Amino acid sequence: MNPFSPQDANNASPVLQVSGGGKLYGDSWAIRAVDVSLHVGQCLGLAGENGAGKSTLSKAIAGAIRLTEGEITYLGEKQVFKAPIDALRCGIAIVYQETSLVSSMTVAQNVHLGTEKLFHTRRSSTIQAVQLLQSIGFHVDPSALVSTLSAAQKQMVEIARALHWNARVLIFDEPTATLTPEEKQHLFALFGQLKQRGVALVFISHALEELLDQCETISVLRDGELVLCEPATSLTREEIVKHMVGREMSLSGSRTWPSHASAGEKTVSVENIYMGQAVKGMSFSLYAGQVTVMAGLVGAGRTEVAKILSGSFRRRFLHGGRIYLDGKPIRYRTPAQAIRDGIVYVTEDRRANGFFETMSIEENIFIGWEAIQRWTKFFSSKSQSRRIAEHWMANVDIRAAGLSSLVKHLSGGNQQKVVFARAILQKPKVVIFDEPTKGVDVGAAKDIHRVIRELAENGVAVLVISSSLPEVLEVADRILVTRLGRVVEEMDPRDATPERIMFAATY
Amino acid sequence: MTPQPRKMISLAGLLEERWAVLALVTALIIVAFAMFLPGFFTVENWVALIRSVSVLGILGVGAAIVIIAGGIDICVVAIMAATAGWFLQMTQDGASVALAFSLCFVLALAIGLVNGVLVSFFEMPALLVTIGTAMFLSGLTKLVLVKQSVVYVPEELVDFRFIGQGYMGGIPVPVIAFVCFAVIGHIFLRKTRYGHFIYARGDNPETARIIGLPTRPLVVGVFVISALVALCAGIITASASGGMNINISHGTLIFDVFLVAVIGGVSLSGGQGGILGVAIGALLIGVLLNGMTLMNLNNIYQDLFKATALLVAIVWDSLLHPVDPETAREGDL
Repeated sequence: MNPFSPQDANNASPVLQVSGGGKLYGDSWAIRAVDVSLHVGQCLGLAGENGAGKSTLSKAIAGAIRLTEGEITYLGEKQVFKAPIDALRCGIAIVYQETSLVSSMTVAQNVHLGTEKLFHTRRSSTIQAVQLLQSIGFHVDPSALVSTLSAAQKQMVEIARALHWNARVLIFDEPTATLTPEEKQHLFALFGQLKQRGVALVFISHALEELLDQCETISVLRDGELVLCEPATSLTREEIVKHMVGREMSLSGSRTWPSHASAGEKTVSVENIYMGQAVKGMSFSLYAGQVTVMAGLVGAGRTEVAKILSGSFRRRFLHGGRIYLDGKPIRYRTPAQAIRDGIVYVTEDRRANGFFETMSIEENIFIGWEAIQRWTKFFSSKSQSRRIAEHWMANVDIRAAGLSSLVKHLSGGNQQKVVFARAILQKPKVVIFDEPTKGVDVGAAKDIHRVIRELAENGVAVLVISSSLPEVLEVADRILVTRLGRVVEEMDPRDATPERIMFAATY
Repeated sequence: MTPQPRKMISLAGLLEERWAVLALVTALIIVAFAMFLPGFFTVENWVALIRSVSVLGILGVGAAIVIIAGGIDICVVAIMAATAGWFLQMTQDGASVALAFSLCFVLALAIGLVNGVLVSFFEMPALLVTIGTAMFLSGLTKLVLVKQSVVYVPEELVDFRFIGQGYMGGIPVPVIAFVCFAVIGHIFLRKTRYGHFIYARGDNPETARIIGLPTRPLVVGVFVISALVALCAGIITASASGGMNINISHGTLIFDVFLVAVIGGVSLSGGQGGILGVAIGALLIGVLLNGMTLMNLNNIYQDLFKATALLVAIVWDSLLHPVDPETAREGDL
């Protein structure tokens, strides 16, 4: 039962209700037919794997995106928010993991950002900020620059800003991921205060114990659908994990094991890599002819270590760890050097850095071939470009009107195949696929898995980074589970279950 | 495999191509001027017209290459003034043409390298870097390189005048030079590996780097090309007008260069456009200015016309390639 008896009467009519909410991205539903309701002084916990739709749902509530179907009822009225500012004016605020403060301004200025009067003095806004900050028991100098604050303090300023807007609904998108244990305690104390003020909270976290402790109700999303919505007191960690991953197990069971799944030569050895806050002592090896899959949650340092290996990022110069390729130590300054040595990285974010959007399929594929030619090679031949592009279009089964179609007009799966073709034609010894089937439909995902397996059978050392557990079990010869910047467990996919992987990856 | 369907050539498809629209507009204006302006459609007038835009066109080719690669080079006019002025000063002071030209070549090369290295290796914005080098260079020119702000071609250099004032087969040499630059530039961008790299770098620098293109050396190369093109344009200008006024580096010529490139369909966001568009853009500007001169319109109107043409081109471009607010706002799922 709700511990705050004064609000009991309000339980019948929730502050905010999403009914039948659905959001279509391209041709796949990020969330569909989701019903959630937020109550005064209560905290709703949202759990789910990466890509399950937690962020989409919270962005829809906060007005950052518009729902394709379904509606949002706020304080008894149907609302359509065109932009985050509309939601904010109504009193719905969101606190992102990556804070959205202006770091060159003071705390007081940030709190008042967007609500300043045309003429205002720094003194009056500082005084108001002091009052606000004291009322939430948060002691920080309002005239301090935000850039000097710690992660937790920044979050407090965000919360203060939300309260300055008189927020009645406050959404926290993975607020605890970057906090130390003490900072977390402070945040949870604040949760209690906010509940007492009658604010409805949404709390998104991968740390299931925190959800169980802090929330009255817990909802679990899987593949965009709401699969569980129960009072927290009646749930256990095991049950949540089961609902998070609980797919039809037949998908992974269909796997037939090749007889030669044993490892070949050790190709890459990564030892104790450090980079910034993301990678902390990562060590692993890759073997020729084997698909190694790195499972784990977003923010576990997987993409970062892949980019270090492929020369996009640089590890710490001193005590940054060692990387060996075929027994020789390597340290690349540019991806071009890594590609010359046969290490190719396929990005997780096609749109940002996967393909060239002004270029056709043919040009996008051929430029990968051009990239690895000797520098004396000057002229390019049109017929060769056509031949190579036709070969790869058939090889990875890209479905498009023709070679001259623009890649940006293709479906996600076909875009990914173009990116794959360009990477594989660079004849890699080691290839890293970062989230290879993100935003890809089921049919194309099968083709992509087939291409990955064929590569391994041809003796390439393959590293797949995947947050999708069925995919992990489908393609892996060996599973590495990462958590907080290091590999914490190695599993044989024959013994691995989605639950075991999820247990190792959450904290 | 089934044969690929050939690229359909339809009117609607052509209207998507910037250069085709531009050619159409230019043709219409030429027809209109030919009908209503006596003296416009004569051989002498056309020779004068094309000659008047040939230097602009050459600079446009250099600017197009830089902009397609995702950069911008403000300092070309300063390089032009500095190298040509210094060249004439040295020959006046008795240096041989070969020596003077080599030193100017080294100067242009050095400025190109400095621009390129600052932009690519030190990751500074190209706009600010080239503004800085342009100001530095014009200061250096007045202080050290030349004695007066206008340097004339020395009497002895009779052959030098051929570059700007001579004819080959009845065609002015600057026009031939413009055609050569345009053809070489076109082949470089469209038919060579490095040309493809330049388009890739301009389209998406991050992708270009990840797939293993030598993006940094590429950017240095592009700025060096731009500087050397400016050197050639400077020599032609000096020869054609019999001297070099180094104050042109404070003038509006640089805006005309970008005008030609942008009207020609070279997008300032990089990776789009080509030399064909630049050539037609230069022609269009030449026709407009020539027609207005024949109509005895004041210079002030010329600026207004150029500005209008530029704004129309930019609006047209954003209509053809609209930014989708939904995709721009919704990064991830």
